[in-house]
Amino acid sequence: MKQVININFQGRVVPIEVTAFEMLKNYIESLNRHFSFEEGKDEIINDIESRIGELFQERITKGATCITDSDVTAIINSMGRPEDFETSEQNQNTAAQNAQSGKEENHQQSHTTSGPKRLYRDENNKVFGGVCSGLAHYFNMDITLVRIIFIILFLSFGFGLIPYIILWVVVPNSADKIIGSTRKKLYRDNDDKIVAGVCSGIGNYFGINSWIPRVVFALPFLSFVFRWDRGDFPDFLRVGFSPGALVLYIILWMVLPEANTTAENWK
Amino acid sequence: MNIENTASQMRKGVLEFCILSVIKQGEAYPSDIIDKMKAANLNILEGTLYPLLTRLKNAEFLTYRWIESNSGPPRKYFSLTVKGADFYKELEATWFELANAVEALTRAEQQNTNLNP
Repeated sequence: MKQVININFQGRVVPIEVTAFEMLKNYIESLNRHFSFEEGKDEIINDIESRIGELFQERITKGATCITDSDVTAIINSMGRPEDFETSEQNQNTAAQNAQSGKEENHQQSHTTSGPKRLYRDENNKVFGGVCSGLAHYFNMDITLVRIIFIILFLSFGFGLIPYIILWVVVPNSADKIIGSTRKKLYRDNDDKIVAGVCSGIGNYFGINSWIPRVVFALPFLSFVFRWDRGDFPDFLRVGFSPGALVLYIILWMVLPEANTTAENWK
Repeated sequence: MNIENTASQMRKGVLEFCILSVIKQGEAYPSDIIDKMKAANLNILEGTLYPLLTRLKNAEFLTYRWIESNSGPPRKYFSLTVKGADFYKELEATWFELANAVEALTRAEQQNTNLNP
């Protein structure tokens, strides 16, 4: 007798034995460690995950009631464990020169060979011109955060638009080059939410307790209600900051993606 | 220096060439590539293939598009770019040069051992 849980894996609900799920989780974690220095890490892991998801689906359509330990073992064996990968330390152009040097150096080399940092507009993650995603990559920040900064600049001072258009025109396009993917991402946390998970997502991003952003958001709003109760209407208008927290929260609610995929939830 | 190490070094170099060669024959889904290579008796783990494909793609030798599949979400199908086709030609030339050289050398050695038992 074994306990079975449902997981959301690559956008599909998969019934899986608890022990099998542990194995899968450990396996994906080992991949994360193995590819941690790789430029396209997220993409590689995502490709592998979606292939695993496809294999799960095959088993379920064939009539399996759930994914068992032996299913996961078989799949892991066919994908291969990190220690079995042949090209782990290989860096195409420099492999021969580095054959003698250690792992560490090899990784450094693969970073430095990419040349000086360039600012691109990121075609792969764009909403309008890819300016924000390009900036996010350049400064190694989360795209969403940069977008929020632009939106706030635009709404509050009205001058976010002009620099955006200038950057759009001036900064070269990345074409179909995928750039950087090891950034931390800002998500709304669906598992630990009170309203929409914005505060807990911010807490996760900065590695702080989710109550800190909650209090920061709630304080001005509470003071607004308090003032309003006393009928101190003009005063609240003069402060002006109070409803701002609410507006900001709603903007974040709309802009931030939900943490959906397995890997994102595990993070 | 052991046999597995040396053998895997030898394989490594030709893997990319073989992958590009499969993709050159037409758009390919990663597990098709694995199957074709298996059929030719060249076993490769999917965990080895995906990073290689991503690197080749980031080097602009490959491009991909999403194609809907009956059995779930859309799949990535890879194809060669113009740059990739040039890269493949160079690899091909190197491979035949090398294969000829290796064959000539090993055949010479065989003849020698035959002459001097």
